[in-house]
Amino acid sequence: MTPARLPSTISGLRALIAQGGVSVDEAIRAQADVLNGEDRYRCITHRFALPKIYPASRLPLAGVGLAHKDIFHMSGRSPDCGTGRSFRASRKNAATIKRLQDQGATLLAALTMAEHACGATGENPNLPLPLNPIDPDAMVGGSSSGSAVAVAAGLCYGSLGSDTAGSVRIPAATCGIVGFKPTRGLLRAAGVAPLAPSLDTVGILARSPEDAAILFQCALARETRLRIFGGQGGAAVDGSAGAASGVRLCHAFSHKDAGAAVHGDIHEALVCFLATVGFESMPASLPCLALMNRYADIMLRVEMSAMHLRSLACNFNSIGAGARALALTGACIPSAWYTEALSRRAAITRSFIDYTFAAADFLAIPALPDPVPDWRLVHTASVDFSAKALLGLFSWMRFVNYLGLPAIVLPIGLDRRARPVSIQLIARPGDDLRLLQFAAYVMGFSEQPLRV
Amino acid sequence: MSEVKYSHRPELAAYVMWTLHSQGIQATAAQCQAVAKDLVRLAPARSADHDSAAMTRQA
Repeated sequence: MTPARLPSTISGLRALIAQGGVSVDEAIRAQADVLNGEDRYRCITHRFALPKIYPASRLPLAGVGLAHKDIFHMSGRSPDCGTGRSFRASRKNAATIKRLQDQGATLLAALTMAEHACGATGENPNLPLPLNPIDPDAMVGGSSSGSAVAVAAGLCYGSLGSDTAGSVRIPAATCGIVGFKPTRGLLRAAGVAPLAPSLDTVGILARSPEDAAILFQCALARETRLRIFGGQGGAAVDGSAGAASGVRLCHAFSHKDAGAAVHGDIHEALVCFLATVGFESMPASLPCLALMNRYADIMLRVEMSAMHLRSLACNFNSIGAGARALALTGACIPSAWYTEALSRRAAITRSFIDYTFAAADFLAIPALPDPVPDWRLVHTASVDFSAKALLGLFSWMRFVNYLGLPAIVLPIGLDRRARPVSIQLIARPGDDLRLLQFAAYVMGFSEQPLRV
Repeated sequence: MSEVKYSHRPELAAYVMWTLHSQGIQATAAQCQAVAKDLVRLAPARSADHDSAAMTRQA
């Protein structure tokens, strides 16, 4: 849980610090105490020592404790990438992590993940299963599983993850928090261990779109920040009704080519939510969905294979079965398929944007096709394992990475078992700020209480 | 690869085993069959290309 004296949001904490209600070092020590005293969620791989000198309180993230997916080079430590290796020193620091620290954030911990970021769940042969703070029987999505758990459990105010086929958005949806995948390339991938470089996107897990916006703004390079945010400060996203003025929305809550049928309860929840928010929304047809998902799959497997084939040739068991299966397929995919996927990407993206966003600002789609499943359904060693349930987690995710569009997943309510139901909103490339503003407005109608 | 029939799973599995072995990877027959199954799923589909052409026209 968030330390008793501290607000649950970054903006709330910053306001308290500005009023003198708590000092930066008190705030950080309180967060570190909670994080250091906690291991029941099984989401932490490494705890960093607190700084000897605390950041100046004028910095926008002073007092804010963050922890990140163990895929980033952080404070002299090489990423573990879910392999369970022991500490290895590094002279690198991921560009985005450094920017957050330059803006005053304090690095508290590195967090668990699926091995080599391969997996729609937090299952990892090298690590114990992470615990979902909402329901211990509920699965935790991957691959940024530790990030979602830590943020949902109140162990940190936000976390950076990476999203190649939904790895920020899936775990966020299973833990009832916000998962933001910016336009591809806006947040620099330097210092991040690659999975599939053409698809990899640094993303943000946070408790609200407002917090995600603050972290996003602080993590951007100066030129990009000016381009996206202009001269607006930290209050650029505040959930006010102005963000919804004149917004045109389209939606697709089912699709024959999504790869998994959308559960009736989820479909109904999404339709009801749009009605509650009061938006008229046009149906979107999402042509080419199967093709885009196929191209994304091909690119992921081929590029992932290129990263790991040499180590597989030296030692077949050097990586676990899940990641290995992807690499083996990638090694056998004809180069013509990969070339085609890459060469058609720009034209398909242009067509998709022109077609889908011709009369709409945002596209709303499901985050997950089914209610958040139990671990027993998606854990590959379980007798009840369902490959369909596992693969279904990706079904509304992969094409977004192929197109490189900004997307945000946010909780809109609870299902019959009190597990989160989430919606996914997608925008044109570069429309990240408007997307965050609209998400903040929309989340004001969510029935899900903030639990941290 | 263009000569491999994606509808013929045993032939494809044999191709997979040859491809992996040529890259120094000793996969089992079951693993090669699993890869073959993935390749069948990822193989180009006529309907997908029609879909793409339709979208380009509509745009």
